[in-house]
Amino acid sequence: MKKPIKVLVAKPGLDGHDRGAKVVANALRDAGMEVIYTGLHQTPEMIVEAAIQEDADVIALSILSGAHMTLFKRVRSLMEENDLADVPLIGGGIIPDQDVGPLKDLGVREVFGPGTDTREIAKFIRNLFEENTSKKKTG
Amino acid sequence: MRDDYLDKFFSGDMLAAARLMSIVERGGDEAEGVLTALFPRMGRSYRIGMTGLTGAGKSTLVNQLTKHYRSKGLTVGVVAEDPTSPFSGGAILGDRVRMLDAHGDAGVFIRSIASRGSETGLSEKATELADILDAFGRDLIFLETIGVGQLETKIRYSAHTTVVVLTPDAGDDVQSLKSGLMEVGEVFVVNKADRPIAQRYSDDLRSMLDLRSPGDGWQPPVVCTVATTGDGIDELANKIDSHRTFLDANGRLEEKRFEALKNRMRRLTEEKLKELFWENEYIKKSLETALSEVVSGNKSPYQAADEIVMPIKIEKDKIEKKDKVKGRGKRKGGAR
Repeated sequence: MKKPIKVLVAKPGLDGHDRGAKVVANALRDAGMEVIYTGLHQTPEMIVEAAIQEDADVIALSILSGAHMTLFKRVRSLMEENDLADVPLIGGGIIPDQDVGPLKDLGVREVFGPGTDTREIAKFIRNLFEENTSKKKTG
Repeated sequence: MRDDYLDKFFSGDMLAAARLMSIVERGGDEAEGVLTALFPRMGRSYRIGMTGLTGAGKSTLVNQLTKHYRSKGLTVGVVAEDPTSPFSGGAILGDRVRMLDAHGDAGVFIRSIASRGSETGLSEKATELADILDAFGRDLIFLETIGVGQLETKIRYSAHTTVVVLTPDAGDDVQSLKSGLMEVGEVFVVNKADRPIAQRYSDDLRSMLDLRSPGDGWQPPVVCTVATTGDGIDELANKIDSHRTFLDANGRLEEKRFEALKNRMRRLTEEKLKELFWENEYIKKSLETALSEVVSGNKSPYQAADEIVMPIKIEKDKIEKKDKVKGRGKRKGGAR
């Protein structure tokens, strides 16, 4: 049996609701992925700890609060400290267009704003994962 | 790659442990290699199974019990299973949401697992992940099943103490639980006990458990808890500890470990046998021949199946003959 892709969906920071993250979690489940959902108000430390213990293939963060620059940066540097630099990080939520470039410079692979077709997210993740496995095989 | 992880695992690296778990989840020869390498370090942890109705509060109780045992200085591992969707093959693993109190504590390792087609509350893979946490040196391991309705009996091979979690509004369901859960439980929890009918419910439960034949001499206690506030957790831990002491005192713990190993050996042998059998060219052919005889009405499916397994029967007879000859010599020596 082919191993399902494991995605950690997390909400860092002070956001009051997680409807968007739940919609994405459901869509990824329907796309055949195993989604670890950790709920609201996660610190970057909690997220990286969960990613380690669950051996997540992809980390997906949803942020509505406007603190995305700080939070993504912190998660990314914790990932690097903990040997998770190879794990793709993606994002979504309310993120202004002008911040997408700087986020990608930080190592965020893609940012999905409101109105994104959830199938597009699933497809993006599947591509990432296939690319990542083939890299592991050759390297 | 694998040996790299093993070295790191032995020095206590969490990521290495997590990656070895993923290898084991994938199964196959590589998984068996990992489990074989770690086998000498297994068998030291105490395993607590948490099973019960969907939404009864199993994860929240595990969170509270983890806090309790961490304050006593014991290290904890958790394997929490959630169901795989039969439609998409995907899953949402949400047990961590209720287990956030342990974050930042290296003495707690939580791993979620999807059932991936396993039909019972606790898959074999979940037990194997618990084995890895065992080898990782965790003192206590919680095995949380998916929410089960009636039959959940496999957990007794995987856990030393099985805790069955119920809620007062399970009401009449107690009747239907009689055959499955009620027999495997060694400690019963009535969670959400702040609800008005909790007292009556737990009394009913107690009197029902009194009817249970004593079996090994352990009378399963009933504990009322409110997992969200922590009410009753100390008493629950107390009862779990008493059960452990009980098992220890009369050699039942060793017996349980032995039964678990025996059960696993049987399962593994069956799996390997099945694989070898159906892969065999001769068997494949004989299935086809037998099938056509059944289709044409010459043989019943029962006769045909007998014919397919005939080679094994012949081998078995040969081995038994040999054993008889050997056995005679041994018996003379007084080995048995």
